[in-house]
Amino acid sequence: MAGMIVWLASYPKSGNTWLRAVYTSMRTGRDPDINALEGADVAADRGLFERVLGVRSSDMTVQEVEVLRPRADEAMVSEQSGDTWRKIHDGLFNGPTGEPIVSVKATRAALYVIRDPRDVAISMASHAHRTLAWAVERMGRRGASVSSSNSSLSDQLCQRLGSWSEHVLSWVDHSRFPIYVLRYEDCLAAPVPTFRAAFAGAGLQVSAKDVAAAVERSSWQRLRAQEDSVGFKEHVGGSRFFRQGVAGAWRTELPEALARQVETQHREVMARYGYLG
Amino acid sequence: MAPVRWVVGRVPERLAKPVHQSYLVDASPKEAVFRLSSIGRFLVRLGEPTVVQRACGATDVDIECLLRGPVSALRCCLDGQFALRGAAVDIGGRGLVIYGTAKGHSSLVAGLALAGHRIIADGVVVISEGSPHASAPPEAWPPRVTLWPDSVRALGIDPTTGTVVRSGLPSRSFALGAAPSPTPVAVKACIVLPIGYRGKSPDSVEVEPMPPSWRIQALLNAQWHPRVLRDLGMQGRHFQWLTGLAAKVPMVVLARKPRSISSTLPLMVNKAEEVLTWQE
Repeated sequence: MAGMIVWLASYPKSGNTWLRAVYTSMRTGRDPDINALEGADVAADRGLFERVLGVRSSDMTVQEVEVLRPRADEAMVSEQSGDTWRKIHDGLFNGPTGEPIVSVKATRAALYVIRDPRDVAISMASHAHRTLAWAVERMGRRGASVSSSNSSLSDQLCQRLGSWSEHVLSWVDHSRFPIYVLRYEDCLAAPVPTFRAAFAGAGLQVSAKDVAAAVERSSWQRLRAQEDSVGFKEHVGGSRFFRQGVAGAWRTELPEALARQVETQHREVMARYGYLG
Repeated sequence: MAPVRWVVGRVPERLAKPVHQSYLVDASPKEAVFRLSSIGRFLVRLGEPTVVQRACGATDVDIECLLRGPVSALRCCLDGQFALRGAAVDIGGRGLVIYGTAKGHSSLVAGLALAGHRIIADGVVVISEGSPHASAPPEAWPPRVTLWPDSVRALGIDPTTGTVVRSGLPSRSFALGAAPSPTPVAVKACIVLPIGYRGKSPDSVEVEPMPPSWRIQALLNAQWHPRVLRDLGMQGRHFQWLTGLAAKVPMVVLARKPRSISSTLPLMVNKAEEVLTWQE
């Protein structure tokens, strides 16, 4: 196999796009073009799946697609000369044959971004143009999936997210390839050492100076300005994709009862990553 | 009487001396095997009906579904033909081919068919060399369009007139519009549906000419079985074909928000009809 995949994994609205912006800027040495970020070939990309396997995914059952997704990863990397970084929002669950949804053979490593689920809920509600209560319920729903409607076809293949806790645990406790976990809050508080260590975790050695420059070029203000100026193709709903990019917004934006609900549902995982006191 | 398209028989798991081998396909210059464990194995030889060894539980509907799609495209590869993953419609004798990474090819073709035009193909579009003409592969004749329930509702089609496409799937196929032309139709324009829309309004569509530098890549991405073509040594010839198509035929990007089929489809249909009047 010529190249391999580095997965940029996260529950939705957890900072994945920012990570990709910093990575893109570091690779190119320029301001990241938000509409041409590295890693945009999302793992559940329907078109890519169909192209590399030669099938029509809309004529296949969810189970058939899940069996074939690791094979699509392998077919894709066989066409690449170097490593490919790809975004993924699936939980790292096993498919019908007991094999993980991504190819272990084609995977070099994964970077998993974790974010305080109370802030995720705020961002998710805005992104989906839904209520905060909807977002909290969704994040607590065991076995939840997206792009799984029986009435319409999505641009992406069905993805099993699980609840927020199930999603985190599916990745961080996986042992068949290296997984480097980074907290979104650490990316904000100390971006250069955090991103640099994460890139090293994926086998990419870069200087602190280069990472600092990439972080500067990928500041939230710059990404927002770019979205306001030219639009962002990954923005599907709500007022804008790049909202605040801060940690702890839940303290003022999430009603007390919903914050407690999140803490109750995800206590174990939140405590493990330092989100409770 | 329609020609026999497939017969039941034994199909090897693998070909003896394939020049291409992947998880789903083995191919040599004269024959190919397509296999999907839940449906069965398909042996394709030029000039002969496809031989099918069905998997336990697979129905005729399942077999037909693969025959009309990836298996017919594989036959095109062996025959040296150029097949795109997309759809095509005949608007007054002028062919409009629709492809791209976003969903919606079939819905758009169905909308155009309901406006009185003829479906050429849905799923596999065969495009002839030289002066480009579009047609459906013989396995997918007469052409039908496959739609999901939201599109059926948005188009006001009676869902009971549809045919099951695969056991257990909610999509249905429909014969819509005027009677299809039995001869290939000259391609006069291509519409590319990309993923990604930068506009703010969820109910509008963006229409713009496709930059020349993107055209080849968009066509390459839409090719059926590109790795089979490469291993059969047809990549160079097909690339020339693609560049010819990209140079001869106007290509237009039609972008909209995801999840907005019902609100944007009428506008998409209007824009698609207009595209044929564009002069580059």
